[in-house]
Amino acid sequence: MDSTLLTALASFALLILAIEGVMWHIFHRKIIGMCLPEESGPGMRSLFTRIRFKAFAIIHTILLIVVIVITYFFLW
Amino acid sequence: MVKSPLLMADTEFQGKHPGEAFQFSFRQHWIRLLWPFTKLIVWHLLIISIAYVTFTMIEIPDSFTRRATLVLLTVFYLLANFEFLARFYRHFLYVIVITDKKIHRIKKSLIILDDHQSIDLWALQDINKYQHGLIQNLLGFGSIELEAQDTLLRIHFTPVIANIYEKLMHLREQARTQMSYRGTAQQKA
Repeated sequence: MDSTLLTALASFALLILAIEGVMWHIFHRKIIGMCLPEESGPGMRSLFTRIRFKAFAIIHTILLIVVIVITYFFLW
Repeated sequence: MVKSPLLMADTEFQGKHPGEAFQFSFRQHWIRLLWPFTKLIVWHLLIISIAYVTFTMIEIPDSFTRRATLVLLTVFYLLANFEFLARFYRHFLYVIVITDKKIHRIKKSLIILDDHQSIDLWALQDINKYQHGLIQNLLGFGSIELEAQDTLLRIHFTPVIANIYEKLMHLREQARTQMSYRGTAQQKA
């Protein structure tokens, strides 16, 4: 496999992980005390609870990386 | 009765006085996210179209130019996604909390904004509800304007507005009754 392709993919993957991680960290710190329902609490039927938010952030990160990897394999 | 999307959630929140009893909380209507989402879709379509034209129709022979174009398109793709993600998170960082004594508006953004405004329920002179246009009436959202002596608090994109308005009127009357009862008790003492 082309080493430039690997470098590009690794760079973008690291960039995505860093930005998603920082955004999640800031969001998580700020959302405390803002009436977000807990998974086991009375608001658990809400679409977004604490755990679902975390899952959303992880899925979004994986999706971005997968899209870039597939595109680069075809177009690099 | 006030139903979803009002959350009987985490009843402890920032700026809560020990004597206050949590009643309900709500966030802005989901329609607030429609424009950022539309923008995201438009960006995706634009990037896909440019990629299609550049890599399928034109077929750049120089590999450096082709790769540079791909990297540039990827940067725009990521910018569009992170802009949406920031907007999405910001939607959940704006909450209105109603207790038996006060209305708290907590509004934050990821980096630059951290506001907390509260208004006493008993001090409210007027509570006005505005629903203009077909979409607002169909989807049941609108603006609520809370007017006290020196303060005006506008809450836009309020979901299930009819129920919230009704509930606020009821809580204001309760708060006023409590205040007048306390005043009478103090006078007697």
